[in-house]
Amino acid sequence: MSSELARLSIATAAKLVRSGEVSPTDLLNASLQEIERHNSTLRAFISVTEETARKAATAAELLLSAGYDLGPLHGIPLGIKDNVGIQGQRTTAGSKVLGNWHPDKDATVIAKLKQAGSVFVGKTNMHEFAWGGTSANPHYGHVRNPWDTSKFPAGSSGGSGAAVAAGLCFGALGTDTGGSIRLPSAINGVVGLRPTYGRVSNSGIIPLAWSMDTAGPMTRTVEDCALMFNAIAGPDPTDPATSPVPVDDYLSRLSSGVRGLRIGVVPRYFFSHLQADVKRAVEQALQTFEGLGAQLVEVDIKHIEGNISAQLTIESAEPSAYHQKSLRERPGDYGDDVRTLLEVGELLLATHYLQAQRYRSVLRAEFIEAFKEVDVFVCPTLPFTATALGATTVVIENGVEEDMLSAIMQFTGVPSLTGLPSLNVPCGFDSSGLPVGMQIIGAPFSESKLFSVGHAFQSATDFHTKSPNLGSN
Amino acid sequence: MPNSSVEQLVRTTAEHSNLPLEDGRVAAVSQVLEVWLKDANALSAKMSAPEFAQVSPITGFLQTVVHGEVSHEQ
Repeated sequence: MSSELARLSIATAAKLVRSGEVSPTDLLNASLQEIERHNSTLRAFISVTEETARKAATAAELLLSAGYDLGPLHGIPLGIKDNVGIQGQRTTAGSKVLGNWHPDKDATVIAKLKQAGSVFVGKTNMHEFAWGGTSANPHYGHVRNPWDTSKFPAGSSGGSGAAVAAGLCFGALGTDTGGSIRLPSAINGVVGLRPTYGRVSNSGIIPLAWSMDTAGPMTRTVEDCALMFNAIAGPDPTDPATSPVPVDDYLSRLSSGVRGLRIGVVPRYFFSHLQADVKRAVEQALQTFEGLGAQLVEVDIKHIEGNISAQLTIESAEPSAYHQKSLRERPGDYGDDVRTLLEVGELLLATHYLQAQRYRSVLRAEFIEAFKEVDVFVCPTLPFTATALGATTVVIENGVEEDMLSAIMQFTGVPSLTGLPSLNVPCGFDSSGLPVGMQIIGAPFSESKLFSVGHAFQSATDFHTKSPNLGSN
Repeated sequence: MPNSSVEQLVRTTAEHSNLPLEDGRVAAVSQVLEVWLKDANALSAKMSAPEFAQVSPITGFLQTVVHGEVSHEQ
């Protein structure tokens, strides 16, 4: 019963809490029991904050009994990626560098989730400082994929993805610079949103690359993703990069369907270098959309090549600026892979960085122009399914080994560079039963549309109802 | 010594940037940098084409009015 409770959607759990059938403490107990059973294998959480979570669950119950309903996240147990500051709780960003740091205030997203009544069960494991896509963490253990624990969970929000997929929490917060929400969402078979750049505050979150960083929800359903996004979206005076554009009610158009929707596909880039099972799953998803009344429109983005180099250049130069002091004073405290990337970022030319930033202007303009012809783009989230734990290379086609970092960001880099919102939705499985995800990419501030497209897909398919079988581990 | 020129660049630049980089690290950094430099140079060449002459980097910012700094008189 506890496992079943822990696997409920947020929307269903919220209804049961309101009807009095279960309490926030029941939900918390269910999550804690699953963490107790599986975290030693999955290493999805760096810290489990049972004591403060129990206090928050009790407070949520008292508020409800007194007639104060904070909304659908009231009493819902969530995991928080460990680069997001919670007042008084140890925050490591998956590194030894921060030592025993306890932030003296909440990140804005945490304050908003607290106002919505959420209960935080713990801080999720991640690639060190979010600079990598595997969540192979030399300090807190490699996060494992709940669908096959010999495989990686992708990253950098790998702990959040594994925890949500395995039912260790009802939803989680991740961060996404070059794909760090969407990649582990795809690889673990959950939903994850990279919001429009500036839609969610980064205040109180340890930066990776300022000009691309975002924070967003990771959940088991699109509806849950919209529920969490309602709580965290919006401007923040403490983050000057946030936009004053008014927020939507992101649930309001959830069931509007896709009839008449124009879906852009870019075959030349997004369907040309990927594993056959991934291609098949996403093409079948496109057929599902067509069956629901959407129209596929082939689009060419003339200058899409070059995006991986631009992303690597920006995503290495900006973190190297942030870490410049620590890298000189205590380089040995960084894991070997992240240390190397930070050192590389110091050695690129300023002109390389600025040409990459100029390239972003070109790429963004081409996508904005394309949105005159299409409503959204659909493409694979990444070109392969979960690969071996600890691997630094991956085979996509013809037995050729490729560098993991460049390969994994092949498709997620486009929204990261252009600042466009992108929603990962599970859309199938490979021949080994490992999840495949697709990205639904929209125009700036079109998150409501992305949720309606994703929800239409989940209403017509059952991929999101499948769970990894972790047995009694 | 296929990476020797890049290794020399890494060693020299690190030294003049006050970045401590022992020999073992120089090889690891050079291996990545050599590939990334090639791609970054290609992107720089692409962005130097005449069709992009008017393109500004996306890092530009929008200035906002600070109260009292702008006259409101017509």
